Amino acid sequence: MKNLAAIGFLLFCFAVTGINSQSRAADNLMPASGVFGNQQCIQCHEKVENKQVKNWRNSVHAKSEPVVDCVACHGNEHESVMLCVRQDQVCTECHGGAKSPVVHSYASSKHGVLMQIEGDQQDWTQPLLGANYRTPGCSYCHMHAGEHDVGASVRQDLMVDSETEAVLDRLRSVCQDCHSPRYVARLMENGEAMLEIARKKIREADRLIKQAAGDFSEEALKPARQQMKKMRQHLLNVHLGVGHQSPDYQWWHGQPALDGDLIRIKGVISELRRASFPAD
Amino acid sequence: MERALDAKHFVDKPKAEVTACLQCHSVASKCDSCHTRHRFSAAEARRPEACITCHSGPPHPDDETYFHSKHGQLYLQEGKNWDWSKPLSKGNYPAPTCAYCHMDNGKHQVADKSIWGFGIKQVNPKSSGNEVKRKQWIKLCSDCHDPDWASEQLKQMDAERKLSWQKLYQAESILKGLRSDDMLSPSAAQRPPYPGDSPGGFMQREHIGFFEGQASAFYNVSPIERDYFEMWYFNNLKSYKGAAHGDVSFVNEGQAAMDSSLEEITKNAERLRSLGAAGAAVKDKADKDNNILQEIWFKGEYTEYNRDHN
Repeated sequence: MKNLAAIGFLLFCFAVTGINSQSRAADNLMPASGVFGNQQCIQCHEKVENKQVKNWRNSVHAKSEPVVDCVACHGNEHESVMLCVRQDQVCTECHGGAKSPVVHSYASSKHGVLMQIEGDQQDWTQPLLGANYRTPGCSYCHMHAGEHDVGASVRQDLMVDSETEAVLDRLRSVCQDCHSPRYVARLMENGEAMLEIARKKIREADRLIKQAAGDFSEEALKPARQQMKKMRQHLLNVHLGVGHQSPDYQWWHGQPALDGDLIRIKGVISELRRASFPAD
Repeated sequence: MERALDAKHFVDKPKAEVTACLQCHSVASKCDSCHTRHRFSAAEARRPEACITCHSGPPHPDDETYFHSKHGQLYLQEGKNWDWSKPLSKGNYPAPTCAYCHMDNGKHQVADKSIWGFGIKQVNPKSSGNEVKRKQWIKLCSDCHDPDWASEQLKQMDAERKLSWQKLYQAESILKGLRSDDMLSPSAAQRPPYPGDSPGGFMQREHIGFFEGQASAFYNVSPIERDYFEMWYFNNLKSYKGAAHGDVSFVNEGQAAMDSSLEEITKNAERLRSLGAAGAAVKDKADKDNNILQEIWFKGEYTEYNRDHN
C-alpha cells in the first residue's frame, strides 16, 4: 500500500514537473528506459555502482518488513527514478505522516519551515551535497551524498552517548556544508548535554521503580510502569528536538514533559509507601 | 530575550537543560529568527510558517489553531499564489495570516493588542486599556468583516475566557483547601523548593494559582499541583488559542480536557484526604510519612544534579 502511495506521488511529480526534467534525465543520466522491478535494478546497478546497492543492503530499509526496496522510493519507471526521490514526501509516507514526532519535529524546525515555504522552488535535480539546497530535506542529511545506508548515523539506544568518532565526523561534515564548524560544535555539545539531563530523569525514575519492585506487586506498580513508557517517548522527543533543531520538541514535548513523568512516578511510589506503612 | 532570562525556571534549572529556550526567546534582540539568513526576506516572514518554529506545542498551539480555522484553510489552499511582496494592509491578502493581524501594517510590536493576558491570568477585558485594544481589533477585522460581527467575536472570546476561569478557579479552590488542611503531599517542606524560592526557608508554603507564582511551577511540585499546571497551561490555553484563531474543535477539546483535569484533581484530592485521615489515626505516622517522602522527593540523580547546578 505504501509502495503504491509512493508510486502515486512519483507519477504526480512526473506529471507536474514535465518534459524538461524528462529530457534532461534521458540525455544525461539514464542509459536505460522502461519499467523495472527491484531485482532488475539490483542486477544492473550492482555492476555499475556497487556501493549504493551494498550500502542499501546494510540499511534498516533492506532489513525492514516489508522491505523498502529501490522501487518503493524511486518508482519503477527508469526515466523518472530521480525525479522526486529526494523530496520529503517520499520519506514521510512511511515515517508516520505529518503528525508523527519524527516528521513534525522536522517540519516545525527552521529547516522544515523553509522547506514548506519554498521547497517547490528548489532544484531537486541537484546531488545531496555541497549546500546545493537552501534548506535541507530528510534526504539531504540522512542520505547525504547519496549514502544509502540510511540509518547509519541515527542513534539506536537513546540511553547512551554511543556514536563513534567516525559517525560524529560524518554528522559534523553534513552540517558544515552550510554552517560554521564553531556553530555546529556548539549545537552538538549543547544537544548531548541536554540529552544527558533527560537520561538523568529517566534513571532517577527507573531506580525508584526498581527499588519499589521488591516491596510491591506488579499490579500496584502498573501506573508507574505506564508512566515510564511515556518517559521513553519524551526522551525520544528531546532526541528528535536536538537532531532536527526543533525548540518545541527539546522543550515542551521533552524536558517539562519528563519532569511531569518523574513527578507522577514519585507520586505513585509515595502513595504506595505511605499506605503500606504498618500501624504501630 | 529578557523574558526568558527572567523566568524562574530558566534561572533555577541546570544550564544544559534550558539552552533550547534561547532559540525562541532571543527574538527580541535579533531579526534572523523570522527573516532568515542570508536572504532576510520580508515576504518569507509574512508567511505563517515563519512563526511556527516557536508558536507550536501544548501551551501555544497557534499553528494548529490557525491552520484549522477558515482563514488558515484558505491560506493552505491558495496561499502559494498570493503576492507576498505586498505590505500587510487592507486589500492585499484574501485571508489574514499571523502577521496580517498581529503585525498589521508591518508593526513589529507583536503583542500590543493582547486583551486577555495571553490566557494565563484572568483580566478585565473591558478595562479602559482593553477598550482601546478592542477598538483596534474591530478596526482590523473590519478590513474584511462587518464591525458588528467583529465586536460579536470579541464578546464570544470574553465568554470563553469566563467559562475557562470558572473551571480553573474550581481546581484552585480544591488545591487551596488541601493546603489549608495540610493534605498536599509532598508538602512544600518535603520536596525541593519552588523555582525561585530559597531552600530550607522558614514556613515554606505552596503557591497555588498564577498570582501566587504557579507560572513556573511545572516541577518541584506535588502530583496534584502538576495536574493543575497542565490544566492551566495546556488545556486552558488550547481552548483560548482555539477561540482566538477561530478553531472550534480546539475550543471543544480544550474544554473537555479541562473537565477531565477537574475530575482527576477532584478524585486525587479525595485520595490525598483519605490517606491523610488514615495517617492521622496512627501514632507518629506523620513523622514516618515525612521520612518516606523526603527520601523519595529530595534524592535521585536528576534532583541532586539540579540542586547542585542551578
